[in-house]
Amino acid sequence: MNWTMQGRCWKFGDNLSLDDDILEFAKVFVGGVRVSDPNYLKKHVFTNLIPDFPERAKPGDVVVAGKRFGQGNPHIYGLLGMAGLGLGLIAESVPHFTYRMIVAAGLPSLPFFNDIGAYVEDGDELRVDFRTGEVENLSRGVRRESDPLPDALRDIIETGGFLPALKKRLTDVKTIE
Amino acid sequence: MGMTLTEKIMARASGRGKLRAGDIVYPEADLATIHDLYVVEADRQLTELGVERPWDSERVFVCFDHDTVPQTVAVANRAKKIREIVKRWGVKHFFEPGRGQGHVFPMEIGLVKPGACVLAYDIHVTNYGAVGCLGLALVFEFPAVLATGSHWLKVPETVRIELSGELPPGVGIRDAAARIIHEIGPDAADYRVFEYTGDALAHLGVDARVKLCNLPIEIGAKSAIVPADDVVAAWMRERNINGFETIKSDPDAEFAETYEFDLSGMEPVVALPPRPENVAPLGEAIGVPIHAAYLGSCAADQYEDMAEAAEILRGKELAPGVRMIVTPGSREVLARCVEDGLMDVFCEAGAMVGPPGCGPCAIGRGGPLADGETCIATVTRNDVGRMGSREARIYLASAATVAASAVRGEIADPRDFLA
Repeated sequence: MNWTMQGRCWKFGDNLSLDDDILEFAKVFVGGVRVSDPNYLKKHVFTNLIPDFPERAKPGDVVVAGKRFGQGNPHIYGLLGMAGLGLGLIAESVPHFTYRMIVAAGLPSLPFFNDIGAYVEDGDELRVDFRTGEVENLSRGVRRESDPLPDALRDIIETGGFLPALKKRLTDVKTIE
Repeated sequence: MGMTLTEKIMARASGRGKLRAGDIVYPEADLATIHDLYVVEADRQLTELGVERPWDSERVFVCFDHDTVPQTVAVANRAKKIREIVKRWGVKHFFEPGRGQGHVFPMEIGLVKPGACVLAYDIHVTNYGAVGCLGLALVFEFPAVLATGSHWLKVPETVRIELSGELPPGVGIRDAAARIIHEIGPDAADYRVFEYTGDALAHLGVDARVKLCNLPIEIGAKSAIVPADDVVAAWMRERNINGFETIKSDPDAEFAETYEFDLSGMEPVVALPPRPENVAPLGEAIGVPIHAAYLGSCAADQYEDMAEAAEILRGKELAPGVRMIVTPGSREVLARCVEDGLMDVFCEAGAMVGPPGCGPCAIGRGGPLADGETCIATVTRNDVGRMGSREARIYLASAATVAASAVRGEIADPRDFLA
């Protein structure tokens, strides 16, 4: 797990919706069945806002969003797609279901970076340490800090998200018994 | 520093002495609840994890409330499969269709008690806050609860809401609950528990409290709770439910914010399509023609809701071109409606009474809306497509307003019907 990322800043505004802006919900269905494979979902991330986003985004790039990133019906698929692209996330705020889903998707994040929008612009080069909460804007020579995710949740992300962490938990329990 | 009621319940369920908002804990469910739409998927997920059955079959609750009466053979076949799975899991608390809506009847039979911590697949588990129980939903992460009995949760902050006064005639507690979520709004509600206190609670029974606890989840609250008091204790005793404690927040507990609402100043409201937080004075929607009216869903299917609507409908008929569906929340509610003559009122008015359960709130099951239709309903949400067609419009309102509108054929003020 790489907790330090360096890459392009993709800056978005407030209130990005899970089911439309981040990943159009209809795209989740293949033959009527929901797909949760990040390698499939990553092809549809943000395409309603930037049609060629999946081709242009590179691992290590960081999405910087405004307030209430991931509002709407709690569907995890867009966040799985972001993890599939190898992106990091900084948001000014996220609703609580999205906070959970960030962890479940295994997405390195700083989800409550209150004023980050004032210090970065789209296209800036960022270096982010998701363990410490430190963000360095290499294009502007600015350094800012926010609270990182709690250790317990970073452990889940480190393990790969919800299902791998749950499998590990079940194995650990069996080992103790 | 003392603890809030939520902190106390989560501390007890997590085996911890002291907790503060923000702590990450693994509370063990006193009850883990799922409904019929999720059972097959849950079984598949557990199989993938190598888990044969839930961690404690005595604490798993499964009920049929979404697809109560299968409309297709495919749904009937799924129901058959659900019964096989439930048997294989050895589920102790399994309820066939007709028993009721899963966020309503467990309170009536003492499966959910004050001070309990219930973990659920479905977000409307917050209803149990009406009897002082903390209901927390985990949705897509629910396999963790079925496999282990718990999952990580951040202890939420609590918003205290002090209620005073009594509702004026023709104004429902649903109106007040909608006004409250509108005033507090999604930013202040997010990941917080709404805890209600105040003198007004002495006049608000469990049915009314369900409305207060049902609506906040729509704007992102984590849960809602009314500390159990004498009103709840009496309600429990009527049903021979014993063995619970009535715990409260400590006087020096820390609340994120405190709001005050005077119920005597409340007025009827509607939530305009397509968001539950689009709450507006009823006057803004008066006269909108409707095709359908629906009374039910876990937000309004208890006896008081039925009585509120029947008071308006008594001796009247539905307007031409309007159909109305009523789904009582449980067998108990249905029986009481029959006993007290409410069924006669619904029948004579021309309303159809459906089986206890979620009714058309579950994406139109048992009565979907057609393209271009408008419905006034007591359902939980009014998103595009919530009751059928994506081209239909849903206005959310109190039971009384739904009944008044069904009689008038357009959205109407229930106060016009009161002598």
